[in-house]
Amino acid sequence: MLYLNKYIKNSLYAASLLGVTAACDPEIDRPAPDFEVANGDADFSVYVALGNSLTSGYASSALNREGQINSYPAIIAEKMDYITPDFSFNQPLVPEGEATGTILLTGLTPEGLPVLNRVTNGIPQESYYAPVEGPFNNLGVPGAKVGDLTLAGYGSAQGNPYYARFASNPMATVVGDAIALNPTFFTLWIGNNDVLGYATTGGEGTITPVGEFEAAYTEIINQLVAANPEIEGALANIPSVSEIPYFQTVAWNRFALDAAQAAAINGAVKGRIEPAVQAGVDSVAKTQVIRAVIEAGTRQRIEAEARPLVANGVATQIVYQQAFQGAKQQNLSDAEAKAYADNYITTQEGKGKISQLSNALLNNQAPAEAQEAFETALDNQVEKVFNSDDIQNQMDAAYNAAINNMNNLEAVLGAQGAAAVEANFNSPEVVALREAGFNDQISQLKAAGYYPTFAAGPNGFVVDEPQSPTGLRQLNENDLVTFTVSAAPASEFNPTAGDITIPGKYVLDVQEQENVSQAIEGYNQIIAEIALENTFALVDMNGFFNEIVDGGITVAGTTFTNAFITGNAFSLDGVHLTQKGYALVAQRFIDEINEFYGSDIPDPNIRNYPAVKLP
Amino acid sequence: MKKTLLTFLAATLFGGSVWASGYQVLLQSNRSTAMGNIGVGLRPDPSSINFNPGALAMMRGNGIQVGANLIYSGIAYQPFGSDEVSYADNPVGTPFHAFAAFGAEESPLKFGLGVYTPYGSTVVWEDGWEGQFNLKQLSLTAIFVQPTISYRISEQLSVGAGFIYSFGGVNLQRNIDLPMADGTYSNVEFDGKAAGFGYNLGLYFVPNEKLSVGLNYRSRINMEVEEGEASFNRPAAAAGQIPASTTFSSSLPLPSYLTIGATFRPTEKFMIGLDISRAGWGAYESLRFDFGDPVNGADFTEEERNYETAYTYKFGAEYQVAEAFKLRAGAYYDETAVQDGYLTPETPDANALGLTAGFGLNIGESLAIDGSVLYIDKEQRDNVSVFDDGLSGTFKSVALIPGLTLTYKF
Repeated sequence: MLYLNKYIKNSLYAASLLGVTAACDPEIDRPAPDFEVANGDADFSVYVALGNSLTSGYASSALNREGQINSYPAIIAEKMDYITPDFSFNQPLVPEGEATGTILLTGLTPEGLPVLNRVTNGIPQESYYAPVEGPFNNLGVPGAKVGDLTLAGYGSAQGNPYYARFASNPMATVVGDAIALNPTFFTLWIGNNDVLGYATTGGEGTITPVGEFEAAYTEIINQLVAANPEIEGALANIPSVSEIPYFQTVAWNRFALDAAQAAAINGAVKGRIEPAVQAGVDSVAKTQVIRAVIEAGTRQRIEAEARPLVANGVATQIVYQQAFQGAKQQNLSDAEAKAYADNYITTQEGKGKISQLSNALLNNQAPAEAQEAFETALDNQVEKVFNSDDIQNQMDAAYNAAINNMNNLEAVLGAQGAAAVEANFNSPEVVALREAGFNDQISQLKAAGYYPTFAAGPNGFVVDEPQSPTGLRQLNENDLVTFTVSAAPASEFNPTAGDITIPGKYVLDVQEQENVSQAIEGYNQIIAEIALENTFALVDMNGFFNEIVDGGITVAGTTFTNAFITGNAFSLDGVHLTQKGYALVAQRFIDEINEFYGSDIPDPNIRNYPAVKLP
Repeated sequence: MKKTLLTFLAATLFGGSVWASGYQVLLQSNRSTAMGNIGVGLRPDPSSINFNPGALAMMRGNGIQVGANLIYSGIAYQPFGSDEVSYADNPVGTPFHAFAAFGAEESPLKFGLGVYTPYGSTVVWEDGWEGQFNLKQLSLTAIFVQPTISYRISEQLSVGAGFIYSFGGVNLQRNIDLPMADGTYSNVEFDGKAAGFGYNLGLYFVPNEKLSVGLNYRSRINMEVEEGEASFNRPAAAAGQIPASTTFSSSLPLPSYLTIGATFRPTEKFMIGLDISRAGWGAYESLRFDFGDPVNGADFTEEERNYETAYTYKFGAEYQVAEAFKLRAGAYYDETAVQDGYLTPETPDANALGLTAGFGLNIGESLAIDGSVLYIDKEQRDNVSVFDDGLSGTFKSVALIPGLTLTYKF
C-alpha cells in the first residue's frame, strides 16, 4: 500500500469538498524515539553481522533469498533502524527462486511421517554463485569455521563459493570486508562449524582444537578492535548439538522389523557370528590339546629313557649303603667301611645285587622303601629334563609346527600324536569346556552389543564397528543417530538384501558425543572470556537453546521445541532454524544487547516470520 | 503450532468493532444523528420505536420513515517499535432503518413496527498485515425487527414497549500461523447466522411546552449462533488436527442500553437536548466457541474479554432557520468499554468523540427530509496486549458517516 505524503494529503483534504475519503484515513501520530537514548551506550549506526550459515539465513540445507531476507541479522537491523538515523543494512542476496538441494516437505506417508525431497532443478549454479557488488553488512558465510573469517583467499575460487560471491576481492577476508564498512557495532556467532561437521558425520570430520579456536577467535576480535577501538558488539556462544532434531528425530532403535524379518536377520547374524565364535573357541581348544599331547609325549619319552639309568643309580645307591652299613657293623671305621663299599659295588657279587635290585625296581617288585625312592628320583629326573631348555625348545618347535599345520597333524605329531589330539579334543571333558567357552563368549558379545539380536517391532540399528570382535555393534539408548540415515542409499543400508549395518557416519557414539561437548564447553569458555575482556555483550545461545530443547519456550503464542517440523524452531535439515526460529534468535540478541548496553532496540514480532511450510 | 491453533479460534467473532461502544452509533434517525445522537427526549417521530417506544404514543398522526447512512471508516495500527502502519480499508457500510407508526385518531394507543440495523459493519485489513492471524476481515449484519406498542397515559406521560427479534449473520476470516507449501498461510472462515430476542421499554414525560424528558431501556440480547460453519484452508499435513470444516456455536451478549435524556426549548425555534446512556458491557466477560468436531484436539475455546460498563454523553441542538428548514448540530463523548490490553483488531476501541451536523427540510405538509453527517474520532490508543498472541501497538480509528432519512406523515 502506498501512503501519500503529508503535504499531498493535506492538499487533498482542502481540495475535497466532501472530504469523505480523506477524512476517514486514520493517522497515527507517534513521536520518533530519541535516537541518543535508544542507542544507549552503543552506537548502531553501522552494524555488521559476522558468522556462518546461521548468520546468513541458511535453512533446510540451502541458502535462499527468502531466508536471507529474514535472517536474524536482518531482523535485528530492521529494529535498529527504528532507533537509529540514516541506518542501512545490505545483504548479499541470492537470486529469487530455490537453490538446488533445498529440502522441501512434500507430503506425509500414510503413517503420518514426513516425506522430504530436495530441489533438484533449482537456480542455475552460474547465476546462483554470480558475483554481487557490496559492501554488505551481513557477512555470514555458510560453512565458515572460526579460522575462515580471517583467512585470505577464502573468497577465491579455491575458497568458499558463498563468500566468493560477495568478497570484495578474491584475497579479501571476511573480517577485512567487515572493517571496510567502518562498523560501530557487530554481532559474531561463529564456531558452530568447528564441531558441527564432526558431529553431523558421526565423528568422521574433525574438531577444531580448543587452542586453535582461541587463537582464531582472538584474531577476529583483535582485527575489529584494531580498526575501531570504540567498536561495540555482541558475541554469541555455541549451542550444544546433541539435542537438535538432526540427532533427535531418528531414535537409536528405529530399525523396525516384523517377526519374519527379525527371524531372518537373527538367522543371518547367527550364521555370521556363531560359527566364527565356535571356530575360535575350537581353535583355541585344539591348540591347547596339541600342546598337552606334545607335552605328554615328551614326558613319556623322557621317562622311558631315564628309567633304566635311574633304576640302576638308585639300586647302586642302595647296594652301596647296605655294604657300607654291613662294614660298619664289623666295627670298621667310616673310612674303612667306605673303602669296602666302594670296592663292593665293583665286585661281581655287588654288580649282581645291583642288577637284581635294578630289575626289581623296573618291574615294581622292589621293597616299598626302595621302590618309593626310585619313583621320586625318576620324577625328579623327568622333571629336570622336561624343563631343560633343549626339551622346551623342542616342544615349542613341535607345537608351532603343529599349529601351523593343523590340517595335517600327523605330519608333525605322528599318527599316534594326531590320534591323541583328536581323541582328547573330542573327549567329553574337552567338549564340555568347548561348549562352556562358546556360551561364555556369546553372552559377552551380546552384553557388549557385538551380537545384535532382533525382535518384531523397533530394534537398535547395527553399525559397522572395527573394534568389535564381530565387526558389528548394535546401538543402545546412549547412541545418537543422524537424521540423514533415513535417506541412506541402498548401497549403505539395505536390510532386505541382508545388509543390516549402517555406516559409522550415521552414529554419534558416546565417546564422540563427549568429544563434541568438551569442544563446545572449551569454545564457550573462550567466547565468554573474550566478551568479558573486551566488554562486549555475551549472548548465551547455548543456554537459550537448552531451554528450547528442554521443554520448549513460548513466545507470542508460538511454542518452540526441538521437535522436527512441529517444533517451529528448526528447519527441515534439523540443524538450521526456521525464519521463526531466526526471529527468536534475533530477539535473544536484542534482549542481551539492550540489557548490556542500556539500549532500546524494539522487539521483533515473532509471528511475522513463518516456520516450516506444510504440504 | 499447538498454541497457535488453539488461540486463533478464541478471538472475537462477535467481539467485532460493531459491538463496541464506540461504534454503537445509533444510526436510526438522521434527525437524532445530526444532534449528537440524542433521542429519548425528542419529540416523537416514527424512529421513537427505537429511541423511546414510550414517546411514540405522543406522536401526532401516522408516519412512515425510511433512511440509510453510509459509513466510511478506517483503522490504523502501528506496532510498537516499528514504523510500519497497517490500515483497515473498510468497504462502505450501509445501515438502514425503516419505521412505521400508526394509531386510530384520538386513540391513546399507537402501534409501530421498526426494522433497523443497529449493528453492522465490515472491517477489512490489508493483506499480510501484522495482525493477519488475529483478523483479516470481519463482516457482520444484525437486523432488529421490533413490533411496538405505546400508550398515552395522559397529555404529559406516555409509555411504550417493543419486542425485539434480532437476526443476522457473521463472517470472519483470519490467517492461521501454519505456512503452506506455496508460501501462503492457512486460514479459517467462520460463517454463521445469529439470532436473539430482547425488548425495548420507554417512558416519555412532557411536563410543559418547553421540556420533555425520556427514559429508555433496551434489554440485553444474547445473539446465539447455533449452526455456524468454520471452514479451514489448511495443509493436508494438518488434516489430522484440523478438520476441513466443522460446525460451531457461540453466544454473545449485546449489552443492555439505558438512556435518560431531556430536551428543552428556550424559544419556539430553538431546542437543546442531552442524553446520557449506560451500556452494560460488563456482561461481556469472555467469548466461548464450541466446535462440532475437535479443532486441534479442543472442542471449545474461550478467551477473556472483561469489558466494562461504559457511558455515553450526548448533546445536541436544533435551530429553525426557516418555516420548513432546520439546522442541527451536536456532539457526544463515548467511553470505551474495552480495558487496556484487551484491544483486538476487531475491537480497536477507544474513547471517542462524535461531532455531528445536519438539517431538516419539510416538503409540504407530509414529507420531511433529514440529513446528517457524523464524524467519529477515536482517541489514539496504545495497547500492550494481555494475550500471548495479541497485538501490542497503537490503534487509531475514524469514521465519517453521512445519511438521509425520509419521513412521510399521514
